[in-house]
Parts: sequence; structure tokens; C-alpha cells
Amino acid sequence: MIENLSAALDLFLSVENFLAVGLGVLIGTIIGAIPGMTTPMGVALVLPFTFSLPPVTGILLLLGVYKGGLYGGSLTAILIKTPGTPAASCTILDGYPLAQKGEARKALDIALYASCVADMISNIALILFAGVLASFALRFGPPEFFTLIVFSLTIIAGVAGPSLTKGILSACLGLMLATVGLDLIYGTDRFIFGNFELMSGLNFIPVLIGLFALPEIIHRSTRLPRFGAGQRSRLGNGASFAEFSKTLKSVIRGSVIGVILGAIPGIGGAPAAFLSYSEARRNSPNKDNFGKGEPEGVAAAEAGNNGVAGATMIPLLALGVPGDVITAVILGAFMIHGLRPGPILFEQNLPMIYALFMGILLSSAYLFGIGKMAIRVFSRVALVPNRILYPIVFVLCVYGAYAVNNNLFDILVMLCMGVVGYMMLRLEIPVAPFLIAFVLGPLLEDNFRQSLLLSDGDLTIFLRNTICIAFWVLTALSVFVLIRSRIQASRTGQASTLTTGG
Amino acid sequence: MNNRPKDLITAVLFIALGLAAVLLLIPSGVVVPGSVSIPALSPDFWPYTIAWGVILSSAFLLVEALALKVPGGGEEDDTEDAQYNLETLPATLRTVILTFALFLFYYVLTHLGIVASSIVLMPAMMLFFGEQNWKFILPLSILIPIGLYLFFLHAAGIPMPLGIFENLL
Repeated sequence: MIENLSAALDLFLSVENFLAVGLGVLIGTIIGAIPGMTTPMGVALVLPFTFSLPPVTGILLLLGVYKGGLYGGSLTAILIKTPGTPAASCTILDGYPLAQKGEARKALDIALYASCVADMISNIALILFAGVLASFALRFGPPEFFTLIVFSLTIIAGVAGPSLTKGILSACLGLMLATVGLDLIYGTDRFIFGNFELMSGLNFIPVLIGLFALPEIIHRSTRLPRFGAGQRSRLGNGASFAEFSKTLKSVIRGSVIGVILGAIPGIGGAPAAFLSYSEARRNSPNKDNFGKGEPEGVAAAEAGNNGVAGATMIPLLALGVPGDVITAVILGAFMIHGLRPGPILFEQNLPMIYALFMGILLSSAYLFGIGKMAIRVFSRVALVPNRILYPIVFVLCVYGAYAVNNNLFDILVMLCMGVVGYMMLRLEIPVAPFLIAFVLGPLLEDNFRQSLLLSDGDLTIFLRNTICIAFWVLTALSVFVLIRSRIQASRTGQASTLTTGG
Repeated sequence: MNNRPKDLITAVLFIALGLAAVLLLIPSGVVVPGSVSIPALSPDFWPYTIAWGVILSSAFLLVEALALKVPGGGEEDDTEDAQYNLETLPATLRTVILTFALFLFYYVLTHLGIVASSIVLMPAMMLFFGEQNWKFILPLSILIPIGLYLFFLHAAGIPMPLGIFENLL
């Protein structure tokens, strides 16, 4: 053990490694903050530069980009309501209202602190529980995924706002749009209508940008500014330790959710962020303030999102199974250097694994420092007058939407979703349920159908083990709590039983 | 604030959407192979389930809007924009103009490319939103589209389409 640690220190303690982690986090933060530039894209762009680097340095550079990218998405989400990553769209729900109240700095600080704590918890989980979590994660087949996602969909009740019915309608619209594209089992067309651009379905990023950023810009056209006055003139103070400590419970809970979901291949940061947000809202004494600029909401979303960072490495390192696109690229980097992650790597290259763990821990510290710097630079954006900012944001959205697939059609998708989002805004239909359903919809349907394929149509497969049953129980409990809170709300005369968000 | 008109519009709109999906969009837009042994595995099972969900939920919303007391969902806008009131064209007309302009922009950029179209769009949008200082409008409108083009080209290796200007460069 001591020998391995000593060898790991030899491998890790070099200027190149320290620079690689810092540079990676910086690149990732910038890429994450640019709409359209996704974290997988950032990792893929940096990959060629790692070919000539030593394995540890190269992989740490990629891990830095990954971690920076996860955090960077929150910057533009909070400041200009344009999520850099799908997971950051959950941060918008409370981050943007906080910025609108003149407390942008507080929102950014809370997001950063939550990200760093969650990242650290995730890293520790990776180091301590890689083996255990990997074997647990491998027990997840399609039925377990399906029941997990059904449970995750109960989040919709938490983010539906004043009318649950409208929230459900919004979610149905998201589910319906998620079905566009080729059917995964039979390969037949669904809502393509002869347009080959729709064969792969609607891309997340243009849909997210269209739904969040464009309605705000279109809505702005209904108002004329008074010159020289009225523009946001302050960023507010940063978050104090006392303010952050109030959110700590939600941050830790969100981090654990992130770790568990991150360890399961194929889940990713967005569902973790939404589940963490929902749980924070359910347990918070300030639940009525969620969606209106609640710091705990920002913290929970970011904790869930960043909690997956270290955990996605668990199946990769322990089993050699990449959990998402980013870890697949990182797996490529391992293989380029002649290494194959998995149990054999632990047996033959333990010092290297330890060196990677050290670098991963260091990345959390870098994340804090670079995040603080980024907040100082990016927060100035909040002071730019809207009459100048919105045209710039729109052009950025156009470039971003195109950059995702090098496809002009994605710009059209973004514009159409902007109109849909504006109509939803005017009719007071909440956007968050649409988004959750759009993200989780394909997972829900695919796992439902794969389960039925496995069982030859027998529905009892959804009760096949304790994991499935546990998720059904959790779902039932969520629904029960929701109904009870609605009844309580109607009794206290706060609102109608049927329409009040729980 | 009374939400009833908005709820009624939403309910009617979604009922129409749900019915259109069930009667028209799914039958014509979802191709079902002949050899589907389990109905729940059919490509149209999920769309039909969602469409019926839309119809039932919107019918419920309709009943809520017509029969029940619905709490106000809107809040007073306390952001810095709240003090701005429309002083010239009616709000709806301005919204229609902007939306039309954005789609026109898309049509134009398929011919002129993203950079040139953005250079034209940005000052127009700034003027539309009320900026009058040309010291800001001109440099920003030129530098930002070109700067973004160069960034995506060199940092990300993504060449933005330049339309008819592609041949000139």
C-alpha cells in the first residue's frame, strides 16, 4: 500500500500534472459557459492534445475539462437564462430569478460552493466506494431504469408551479416531442414527415436554448426602455458562509443523489440535478420560494449536477464501462495510451489509479479558484443593459445552436421552440416540466419497451426485484405526500386543492 | 390576477392538439410495421398514450377553469423591467414584428451565412429594443459576429456557414 502510494506520488507530483488539471478546469468552465459548446465537445476537442502527453497528465487534462464543463453551464444559466448544458437548465429555475432581483453574485457563489462540495463528495465516493457502487450500478437493467425514471418524473409536481394540470400538460408536450425521430426498435419513422433532418430526433441544446433564452428576448419586445435609468445596476453581495451553510443539507443530499445516479451508466447530470432540486424543495421550509429565487434551489441543482462528476468514473475505472459520452472519450484516451480500465488496471497499475485520484481531488480545489475568477469576469454580464445584451445573447444562441451539429436546421428548431416557449410564457404554462419530460422521455420509453422485450410482454418484470419495488414505493410515497400537501393547502385556504403546487 | 381566460385558452388549445395527434398526426406520421406482436411495443403506443394524456389533462383543466375557483398564478413583476411600459406600438404588434424578423433572419442566413446576417440583425435588434448610441451599436454589431466566427473556427474547429461569401474567402 505504502509502496503504491509512494509510486503514485512520483507519478503525480509534477508541474505538468498541476498545470494540466488547472488548464482543463479553465477550458471546461469556458466551454460549459458557452451555449452550444457542450462538455463532451470540449473533452473531444482537447483529446488530440493528450496523445503526446504522459497518460496521467493527459487523462487529468480531460478530467479537468469535464469538471469545469459541468460547473461552467451554470454561469450563463444564472446570468442570461441560457443554459450551457442540459443539467444547467435546472439551475435556471432559481438562479435567474435571483439574478433578476439584483443578487447575481450570490446565486453564482452558491452555485460554485455547491458545485465544489458536491464535486469533492463525488470524488471521495469514487475513491472509497468504486467497487461497491459499480457492482450495485450493474444490477440496473431496463426495468430498474424504468422505475427509477418513473420516480424521477414525480419531480414534475414540484416544479409545476401554481397549476399541476398545466404542469402535466407541459410534460406531455415534452414527452411527445421526445418521440420525434426513428423508432429505436423497429427503425420506422415517427413524426418525420419526409424531413430527414428529424430522423435523429430533436437535439437537446437547440430545444433548451429556444425554450429558455428566446421567450425572454421575445417578451422583452413588448416593453420599451427608458434611457439612462432602470437598468440593473448592482450584482449584489456574494454569498456568506452562513447563507451557504443553510443550504448545506440540500447540497449533501444532492451530492449523494448525484453520486448514485452518476454511478449508473447512461443517466447523466440533468436527471440528477432535477431529482436533487425536487428533493430539496420537498424538504425545505422555504418550499414556496422555490422557482422565485431560492438559494437552496440553486445549491441543490448544482449539487446534483456536479455530484455525478466523480461517480461517472466509477463504472469506467472499476469495470471499464463508460457511463456517458464524456467517459467514453476518456476511455478512448486510456486506450490510446495502451491502458484498459477495469479490474486488471487496478491490479497492474494501482499507482496510476492513485495518481489519478490525487489529480481528481486537486481538480475540486482548482474548480473553486477558477470558479471564483470566472464569477468575477462573467458577472459583469449582468450589468450590461438588456437592450444591448439581448441582441448579443440571440446571436450567441444562433452560433451555439449551429455549433452542436454543424446544422442550420438546429437554428430553425431553436426559433420554433422559442415561439413555443413564448406561448407557454404568455399562457403561464411552466417550462420546467416540459424540459424534464423531454430529457427523461426517451429513457422512459426505451427502458419500458426493452423491459417488455425481455419479458415477452409480461408486466410483472417491473416488480422483479427489490430495486424495482423500492422505486415503486418511493413513487407512491411521493404521490401521497403531494396529495396530502394539496389537501392541507386547500384547508388552510391558501388555494384550491386541485391546482396548487405541492 | 384571474387566470381563467388563460386556462380556458390552454385547455382548448391542448384538446385540439391532442385530438389532432390522435386523429391525424399519429396515423399519418408514425409508421407501424405489420409484425408487431406485443401492442405496447408498437411505435405508436407511446405517442397515443401521451396524446390521450394530453386530452384528459386538458379536459380536466377545462373543468377546473369553468367550475372551480382557480388561484392566481401570476405575480407582480418586480424586476427592473417592470417600470417600462409600452409607449409606442401595441405590444402584440411588436412581438409579431420581432418573431417575423427572427424567422426572416433564418431565411436570410441560409443565403448570406451566419456572420453577415448577424451583422445586419444586431443593430436592427438593438434599435428595436431602444438602444440609440451608435458608439455601442456599430462596433458591437461588427465585432461580436466576427469574433464568434473566429472563436468557433479556431478554438472549436467549427466553420460557420458564410453563404454566398463562402466563395469570396
